[in-house]
Amino acid sequence: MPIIEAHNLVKTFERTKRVDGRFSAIRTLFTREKETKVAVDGVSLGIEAGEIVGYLGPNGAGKSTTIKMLTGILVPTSGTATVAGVTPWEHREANAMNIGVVFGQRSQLWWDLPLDESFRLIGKMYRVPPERYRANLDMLTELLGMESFLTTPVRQLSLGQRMRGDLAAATLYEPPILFLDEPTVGLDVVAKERMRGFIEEINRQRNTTVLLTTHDLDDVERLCKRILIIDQGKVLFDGPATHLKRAYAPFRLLDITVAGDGATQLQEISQGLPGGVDIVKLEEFRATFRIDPDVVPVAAVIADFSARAPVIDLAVREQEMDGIIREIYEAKAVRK
Amino acid sequence: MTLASLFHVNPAAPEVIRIAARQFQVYRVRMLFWLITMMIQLYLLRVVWMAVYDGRDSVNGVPASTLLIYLTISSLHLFFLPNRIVFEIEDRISTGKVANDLIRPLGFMQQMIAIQIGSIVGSLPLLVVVIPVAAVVGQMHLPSPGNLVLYLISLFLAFTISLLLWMVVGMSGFWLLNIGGLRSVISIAGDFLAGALVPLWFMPDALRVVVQLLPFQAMGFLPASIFAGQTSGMDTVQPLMVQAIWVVLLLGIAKLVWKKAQRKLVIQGG
Repeated sequence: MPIIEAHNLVKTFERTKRVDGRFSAIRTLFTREKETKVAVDGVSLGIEAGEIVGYLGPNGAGKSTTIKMLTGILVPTSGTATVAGVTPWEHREANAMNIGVVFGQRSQLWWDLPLDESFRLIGKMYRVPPERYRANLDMLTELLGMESFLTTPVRQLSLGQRMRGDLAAATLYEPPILFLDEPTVGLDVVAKERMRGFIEEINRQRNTTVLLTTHDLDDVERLCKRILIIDQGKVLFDGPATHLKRAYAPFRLLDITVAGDGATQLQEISQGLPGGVDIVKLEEFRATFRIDPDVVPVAAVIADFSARAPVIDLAVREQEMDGIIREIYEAKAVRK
Repeated sequence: MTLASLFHVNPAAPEVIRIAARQFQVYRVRMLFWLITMMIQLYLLRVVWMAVYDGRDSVNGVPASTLLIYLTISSLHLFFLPNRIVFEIEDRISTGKVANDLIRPLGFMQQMIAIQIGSIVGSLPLLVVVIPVAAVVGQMHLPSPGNLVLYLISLFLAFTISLLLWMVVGMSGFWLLNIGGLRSVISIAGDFLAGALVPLWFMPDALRVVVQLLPFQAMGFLPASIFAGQTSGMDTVQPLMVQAIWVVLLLGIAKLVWKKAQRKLVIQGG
């Protein structure tokens, strides 16, 4: 049974419609006309324990609103959901014990207090026994490299340090589920990598289920086997990340460099290509080929080329996620 | 949520209280200015009222010293009034920080109450300064032991009413989104309606009837009157009952408002 389950979640927001024309400000004040905005429009999903799922979509697609319903912050307009067997918005406090939440845009730490005071408070709030608290804090301090700023007030931390603090706060009480809403937003490359490593590690060690929203596709490629794509409140795609790649980017790119005396052999190879292989770029000692793995295995191509030319270096690349996602957003549909 | 659940204290609550008390130290400078403002107000009230008494010992059966003690204790009430809760809720709604409160294993109202209690606990050390200053600017005289006990009970109820009222005002922000104006109006009108400037004894009958129907007198006038000795013995039964009724009523309103607010909630700033 899925640990996170949602059926037909809908969330609409109402706001008073602005009146245009003369005395618009005053008329707006007295108008009863409401404007309804559908943020989430019938989202259903099921996530199994131990999965890391990427929840993607352009700005305003409804990602954060979905997360806010699953964390119990918002009450949906209609639909049902259970998170570890609990309806989040009905049993907020019980749900809180099961989940860890990180909002990249908003810290849950206490601004005026040193980081370790925030941790202490969280330990108390979530009733972590003292010895477990000690062990978890030590583990997190090491894993996230927080030693040097543990006693610094939160308002003096850099963004990267603060985010590490937030991740630690969300995992200190060992929740079986983590909701991460843009956990790497605004971080530099090194900091992002550290966050990803941590998420991977916590998932491996504790079998923590992770639902992750992000705009950074490196996050997805690195962490998520499965992705959900949402746009205008509807799920466009739910499936393995590899499926998207197969549908959108079935080809592999093979880069080959030959030794100084192999220029002619490389020319010969490029003129007599096996089926399923195209040439993308040809230089004197280097070439890039596009291989369709459904026609010919990549390994066979490599073996063939190595036999025919003095290959000194090679690399197999997949097409980047970035382009795939962009195409889906633009087409508002997923190719089968 | 049943009435019983209100008395079920989450083990985290004392910790939130402790943190709030600690955070309150940040407000020390602000408290100092607030204290100066209060004392100027008390001094002006004293000057004006003594001019009204014009040397008479007693007006309308209220001795001058009783009035001065009344005004002094009223000023102290205003100083320690549990109204930080409204600023906390206002801030949490306008910044969207309320999202963080809702992912805690502790109810939203419980957290807000704990923060308010914490800020009162944090400001208690100031009593050492505030009471002597107030005694010099105004006039202080401890009531009889019996009245002191009744006063403390009445004060507790008054603070509870005040806390609940400000919590409801704060939560109205879930609909209004900006409650600065409403807060100011209630704050200014509330001081007057609580009898902090003019005790209810001197209000014209028509006004007094209206004022007695509002919760503000139960937040300030009733305990101050007991402290000053103007209300004592069996006469305190009715005021205490009125206060108790307001506690129950406002508690019901607060819970209802919170229940509705959850569906209304919008998290500002994504």
